[in-house]
Amino acid sequence: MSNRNPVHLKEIAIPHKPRKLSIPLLLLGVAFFVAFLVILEAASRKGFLNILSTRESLGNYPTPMGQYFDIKWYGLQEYVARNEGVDVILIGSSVVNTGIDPDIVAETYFKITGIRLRIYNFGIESLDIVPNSVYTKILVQKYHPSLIVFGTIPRDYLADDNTDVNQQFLSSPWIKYESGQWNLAGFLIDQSALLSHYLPYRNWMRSDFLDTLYRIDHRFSRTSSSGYEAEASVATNLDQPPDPNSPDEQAAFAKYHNFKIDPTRLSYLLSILNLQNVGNTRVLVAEMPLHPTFYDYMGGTLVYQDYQNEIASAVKASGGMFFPSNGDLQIPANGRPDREHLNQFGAPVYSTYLGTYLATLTTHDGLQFTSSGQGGH
Amino acid sequence: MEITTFLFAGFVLLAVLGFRCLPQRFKNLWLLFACAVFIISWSWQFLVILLLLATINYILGKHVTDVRHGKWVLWAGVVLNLLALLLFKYSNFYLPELTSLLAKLGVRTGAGGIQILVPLGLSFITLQMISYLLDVHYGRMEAETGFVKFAVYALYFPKILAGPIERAKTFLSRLDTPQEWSVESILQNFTLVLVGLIRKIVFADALTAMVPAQAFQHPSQYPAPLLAIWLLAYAFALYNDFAGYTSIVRGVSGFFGIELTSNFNVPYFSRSFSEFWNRWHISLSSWLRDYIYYPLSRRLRKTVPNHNNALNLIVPPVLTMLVSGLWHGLGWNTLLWGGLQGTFLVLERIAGLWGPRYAPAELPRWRQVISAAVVFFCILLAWVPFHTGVIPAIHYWQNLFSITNWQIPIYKAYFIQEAQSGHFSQAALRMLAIFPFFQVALVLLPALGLDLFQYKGEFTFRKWPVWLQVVLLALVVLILFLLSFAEKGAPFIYQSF
Repeated sequence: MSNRNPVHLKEIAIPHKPRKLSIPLLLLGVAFFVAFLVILEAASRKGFLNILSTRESLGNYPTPMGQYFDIKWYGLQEYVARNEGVDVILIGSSVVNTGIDPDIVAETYFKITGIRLRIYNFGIESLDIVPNSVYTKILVQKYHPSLIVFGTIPRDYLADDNTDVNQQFLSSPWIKYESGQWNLAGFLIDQSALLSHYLPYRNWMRSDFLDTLYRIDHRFSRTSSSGYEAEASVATNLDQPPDPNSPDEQAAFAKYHNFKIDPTRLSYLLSILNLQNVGNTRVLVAEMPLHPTFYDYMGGTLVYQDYQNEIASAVKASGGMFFPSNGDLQIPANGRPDREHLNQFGAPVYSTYLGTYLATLTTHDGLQFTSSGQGGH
Repeated sequence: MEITTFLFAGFVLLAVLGFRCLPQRFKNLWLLFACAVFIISWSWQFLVILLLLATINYILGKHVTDVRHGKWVLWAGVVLNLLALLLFKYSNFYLPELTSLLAKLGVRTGAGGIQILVPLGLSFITLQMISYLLDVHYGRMEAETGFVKFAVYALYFPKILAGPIERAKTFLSRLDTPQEWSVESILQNFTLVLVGLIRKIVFADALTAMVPAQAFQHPSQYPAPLLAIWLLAYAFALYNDFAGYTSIVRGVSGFFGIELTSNFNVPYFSRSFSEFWNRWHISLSSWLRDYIYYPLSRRLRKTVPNHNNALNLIVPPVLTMLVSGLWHGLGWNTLLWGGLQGTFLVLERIAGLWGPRYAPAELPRWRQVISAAVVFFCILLAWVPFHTGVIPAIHYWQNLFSITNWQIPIYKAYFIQEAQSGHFSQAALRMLAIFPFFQVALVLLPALGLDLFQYKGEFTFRKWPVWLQVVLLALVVLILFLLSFAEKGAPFIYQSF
């Protein structure tokens, strides 16, 4: 510590004749600035910015779930443009993303009914029933599909699961804007091609930015044009029940301990089912197939059956269709990367199973799933 | 109510308009009301605690000059303020023990134990209260008679979160005569707010986000070049975060016509350690100097009159910096940081014993540059324990100075995981290896540029041609707008002290 006096800040040095901001100059500056932005916006709308980057984003939080949403959103846009519409949209979390191949569902349905369905998989990793219910409404309003298939698992109904991710995702400007809460940022994201080209790079300062960007590119490249992302890994020893004393399993046991369906989470399911009142859209709640040993986390098969019955009752009471996954569904031993998800060997089996069920609905119950028009823009 | 939000901007606008419209006799009451609203926006309990603290110090201030009991009142006040600091700020050290003791006595404390939230800006307020009592007791100022005015001094919202630590004598007199509004003062304060926002959002938040949290916890996972660049990023993030905050609140306070102390004066260009402490967190350094360093030096010189005695050379700077460390947090790491700073000052003083002492500006230019580089390097290394625990800090230094850790290519554990994932090509891996350097340089260079301009004068931009100012303003607005889409930055670092 010095004995000397502190070095004081240099005195404010204002010129003797301070230059004054003139209004015309300020307006000229603003005009140039606006013109500059307009030119850039026009260039990006004409596709000139694609020379620099073809990536686009809606800027949803959090990373990387926001970008997973981008993959599906822009993928669906392209799908609709290519196929002149979409009939069935599959929604849900990662279990849907890697668990249902829309092409196989469509092919199975076609073989039985002779009708070609346009199906897109909008399942997104880490986004559960809470955000699902919000963006499904946006999808229905925008694309008017004939059928929404919501693939669900017990995790969707855990009270405190994934709350931070959900909260951040739902507070994103674009999501709020599309949900009817007008805000400037959301409006600009929705309208500006320039901004959507910038947004993939919005977190350029993060330490994991480039890693994430590469990973997203990788995920994008392995996602099919109908939105299915095949999972390659295969779990072994799944037939052995999970050990409550194993450190690897304790988190899952703690999560599902005393499993009960949270009424708030159930209300999100009902809000998805309520979309049946919008236009001609129907909702099918499909139970994604869990490995039977998964029930041990919940407390056994009886607890699981109670859960299944409660969901089925709620769906039927709301006039929706419920499609359980037990019965004759046989997922092969190498068909799972873990006890919850399906991989590239398991997904085709379930997709065929779902396609057959949809065909049955058409052939036996006379339900039609083809949309008449093109998805709206 | 975070100060970088539109909500705060709206609140300030209303508060300033009210303040400017009211006659002088109601201005302080209005300010106190605004302060209460601001504090309640965080927690109403904070307002109760801080008002109680202000009231006690106000009453003590009236009795601290008492001929018979003044000394006792003074020490009671100092101890009381320090106890408040210990009770709230350092609660995480004694609460676990207290909880277990209560459990042994059969008293249940709930699932999370006892929780104590640290009232807003408590560390800063206690220092101000202590200096007020000391100044009144030693006759450097009269005790404040108006409670409202004193409460505004204690709770003034632009400085409550993280200072500056204002002296009562200066601040209270400014409350009596707030500066009148003029176009020039408005532009000047607007510039301060804008520069503060740039420092916080463009520089500090970005640099903070560039440093992985694991880097300071498990440094052995990273190659030395990355540790070096991230330490640099942290140093500038810390500086720009605090300097940005100070600039914003000075601008905000300026709209009320109340000047606040400038806390920073381009500290990383310092050519000596003592110069650094005259440029970094100026209000705290001068507080420590006036209330710890000088009194301690005077007391020691009464015992050992020789200036160059080891006791006089070592004890005052080391003890002062240790107190500074403890003020930042009760931990071995902050003590180590304070100890290092004290050691630097001692070494500088010892070096000054051999030969005449020159002010840094009087040295030849080449010596100024070398001195500045040495000082910056030492300060940089000392930030490591400031940011992390003692053991990780030692590992950080070890890895930073390990020759083998400087090998090129710099892939290590950090990149092995990426390579094993099979997601990335070799070109992508190379890009991953060098990207952090681009990233840090992209922010560090403009940040240094801003410092260089401010080194010439804080408002040097105002001398530029108007068209350039307009372009700069437009650019800044655009950058702030684009950055608003990034995931939210952390709150001000010094808010937690």
